[in-house]
Amino acid sequence: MINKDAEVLIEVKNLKKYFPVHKGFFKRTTQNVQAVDDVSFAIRSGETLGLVGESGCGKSTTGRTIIRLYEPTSGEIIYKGTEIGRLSQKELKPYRKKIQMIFQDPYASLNARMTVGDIIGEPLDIHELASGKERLEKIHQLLHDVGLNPDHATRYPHEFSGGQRQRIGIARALAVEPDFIICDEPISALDVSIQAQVVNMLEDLQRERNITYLFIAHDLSMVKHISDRIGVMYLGKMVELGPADDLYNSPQHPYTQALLSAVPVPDPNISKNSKRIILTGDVPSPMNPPSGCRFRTRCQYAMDICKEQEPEFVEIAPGRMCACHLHKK
Amino acid sequence: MSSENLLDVKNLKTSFFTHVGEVKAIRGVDFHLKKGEAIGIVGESGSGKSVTSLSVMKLLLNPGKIIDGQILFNGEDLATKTDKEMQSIRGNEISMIFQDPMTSLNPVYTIGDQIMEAIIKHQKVSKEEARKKAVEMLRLVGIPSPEKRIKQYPHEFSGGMRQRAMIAMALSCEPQLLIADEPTTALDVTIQAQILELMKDLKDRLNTSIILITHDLGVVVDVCSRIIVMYGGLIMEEGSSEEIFYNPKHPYTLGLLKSIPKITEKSDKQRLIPIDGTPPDLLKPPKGCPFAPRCDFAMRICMEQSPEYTQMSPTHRSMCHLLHPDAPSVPEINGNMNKEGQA
Amino acid sequence: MENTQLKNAQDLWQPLSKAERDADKIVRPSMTYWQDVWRRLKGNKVAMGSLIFLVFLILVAIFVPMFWPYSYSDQNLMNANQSPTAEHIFGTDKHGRDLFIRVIYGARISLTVGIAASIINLVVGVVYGGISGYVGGRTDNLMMRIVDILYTIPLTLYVILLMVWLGAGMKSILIAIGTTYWISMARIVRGQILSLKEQEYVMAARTLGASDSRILFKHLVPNAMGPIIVTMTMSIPSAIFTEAFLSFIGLGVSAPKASWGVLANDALGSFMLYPHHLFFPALALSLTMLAFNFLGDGLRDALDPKMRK
Repeated sequence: MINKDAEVLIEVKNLKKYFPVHKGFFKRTTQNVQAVDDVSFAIRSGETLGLVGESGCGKSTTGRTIIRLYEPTSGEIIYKGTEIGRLSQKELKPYRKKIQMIFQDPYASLNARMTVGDIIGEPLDIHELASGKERLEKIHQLLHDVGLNPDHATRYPHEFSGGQRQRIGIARALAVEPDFIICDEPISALDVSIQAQVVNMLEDLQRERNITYLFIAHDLSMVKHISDRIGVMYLGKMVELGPADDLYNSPQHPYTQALLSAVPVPDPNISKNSKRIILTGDVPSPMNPPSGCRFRTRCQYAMDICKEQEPEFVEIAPGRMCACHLHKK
Repeated sequence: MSSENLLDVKNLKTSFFTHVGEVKAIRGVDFHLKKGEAIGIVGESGSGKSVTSLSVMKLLLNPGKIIDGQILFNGEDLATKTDKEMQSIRGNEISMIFQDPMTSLNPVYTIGDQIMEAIIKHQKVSKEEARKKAVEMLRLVGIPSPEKRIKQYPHEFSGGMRQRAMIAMALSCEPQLLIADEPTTALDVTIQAQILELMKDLKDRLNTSIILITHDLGVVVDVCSRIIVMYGGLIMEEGSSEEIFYNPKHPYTLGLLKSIPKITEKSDKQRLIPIDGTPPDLLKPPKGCPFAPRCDFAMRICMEQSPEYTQMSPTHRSMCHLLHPDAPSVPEINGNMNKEGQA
Repeated sequence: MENTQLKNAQDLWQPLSKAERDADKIVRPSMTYWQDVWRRLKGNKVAMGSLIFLVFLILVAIFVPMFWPYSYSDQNLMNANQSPTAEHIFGTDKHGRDLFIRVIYGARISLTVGIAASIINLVVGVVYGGISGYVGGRTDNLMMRIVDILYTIPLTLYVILLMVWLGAGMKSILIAIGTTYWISMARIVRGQILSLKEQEYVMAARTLGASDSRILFKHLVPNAMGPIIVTMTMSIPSAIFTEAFLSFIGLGVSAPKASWGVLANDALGSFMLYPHHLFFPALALSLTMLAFNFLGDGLRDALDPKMRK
């Protein structure tokens, strides 16, 4: 739900994350993988911002940099007005109660050697939020909130299905009562009929607790369903940003157009009559991105200026941002 | 009738004999495939869709075994064939491509060598002729500069190109049947679109039959004319794409369609309607219909007895008690079918 | 059949409530990871045989000397060099000492050395390797280069020097083995930590705000236990053999204490005439080492998570 008057909860300004590539005996940095290259956006309280793009676009890296799993190379991360991108890990600890993350792989995101109760209780232990009986009660309550049975607390992750494990991961994130949750491909590894369960639960939790989401995924249909606004990334850059429906109905950036037309639609008549924009070639290497506009090598509208000058990410209509020379005023 | 079919699977049953017991992965599956036809098998984990294709190819690893049924390929029963006999069929008359192109290609051999291996083995031609054919196949699947590429190794190819190389390898001996097990699941959406176009194109050009296995309903719409929906080791529903998408007659199919978001949906954020619960554990398969525990319309009989198939049209059938004349009326499933209500 | 169907017709077509459908039930019995490991190990007959042998050996080494009529140092020159009899199961040595009890004492020494060395090996190796793997970067580089250098020092030479400095005896052997054998453990642990570090549950712990030591000891090390246990089990035979070897060349425990190496040394002059002097200690040593190796192999297979599915 977009509430235009809601405060900006989290803002990212000119965020860059480069990964150095080491070569040589002394491990000199010869090149950088420009995973995230100058990305800026803001998310309002209670909103869901979807972040889409294909492999190598930097969407996961963006999410992980915001939560400081990776250190930003440069740029700012601002939470409720406070710059948190440069805090030490110790200073960051209280913010860990406000910003949480849900991961992609339900089989790898839970420690196989810990019971479900301990997994969910760990954040309570780390932040000393509860102990003894109170801790157990909180764990049972969290299990209940995500639709699981409180007796499941003594079992181990491998006894649960993918969807149930994902719910355990969500319960763990909720233990600290965060304002903001980054969902890093939370449903990609789940069966189709289970995905809806998890998505509905996320939506319910958002409504009940006023949680803000950054929803990172590559499944465009699901992202469109859950997000208020969507940002499209390509090779480390954000190329378009706008309200979900507007973006779908009239995508402005050629990449967004191709991306949307490539999504398979489970509807024979619509599928037959839709015109597919088939992109040629492969995604260029993020170590050596094309000069100027990074999408120009696959763009059907590429012009000379696209090779020379990188387009700016500007507002082309109220609430709509785009980085493309076609839309320069 | 069956002599017209390229592939005729009858009452196939496959189980895995593990240390905890017999896991009944497939419990009686029948379907057929004509020459030049593309069908899709759709299902979730535990549905048995992948095991079906591995059974057809006789590629099941221990402890899996086909315990019953026939797999008639051009009239011959593959289920009774020895491994040696199957070796001359695999890669030659029936080919398979898998989900992850990185692990399906051997990293220490060039792409060319891998394609040529199949050609040389099955077609008894010289190395030079095999090489020419390999280059031709790479060109056919849309890989630029194939003469150069043929000498490269898999890690030098991108994900989409590797999958194309896999397709080239699979089609190099011009098989009559191509089985594609989740061929685009690991690929980006724009690459997926390319690969699906390619498969459609090749099917038309080479008249290859295709079995496309996937969990993504959108993917089958593009390529396949008929769709089989599997759940819990059995076929729940089978029909043409129009029948399945516009007139589903099984609660599972209906549930799937209601639970997936459609990118074309108008705003308003209609809530997705999930299917509660999780797929069954086939170690102790449910006595009755495998979908009953999760079915909103489940009746007592559904837990006790496995339903029979009801044929709604020559191409459309469904396995559901609701289609029985005695069943109560449920508009979504049997709305226009029930003559009498419940006694 | 028809009749029962008609009778229950009303019943059968009744819709079921959600509870009756039981959609989220967990069917399989609950088994922890270690129960699963034990089950797999049980299936490996050779490993189980080895385990039984070792348990038996430990029990014998602990309890038999308590009630055995002879001690390892009782000499009886009249009975010297006897072949195995009912009274002296393994015969006697050149001083008339009961060989059987001496072999048992040898077991005590070898097992003590083996297990003690393993424990030191475990603690030092896990801490060193764990820190190196976890911190990574230059620190890891440095720590591993130190390990590489230490690894090239010839063990025998080092032990000899140590023994010369510290004097012969059990203590010296333990120090010598303890200060060198941790290296392979450190390498294994580091490798494990490096690969486990990137797992999502570790990332999750970091996002929760877990401290480094918490992540290392609560998340990483327990998950690396498999290879750690295997390495530990496999290093015991090396330690035992090293001790035997050192004793054999005169650097280990000294007479009348009876380590298997000492017994072998004693047997050297006379084993052509009295083969049983060498045979029994050698048999004991070989069987023990083999048993640990087979057990280690079996554990490696049982702990391999890939075999889970």
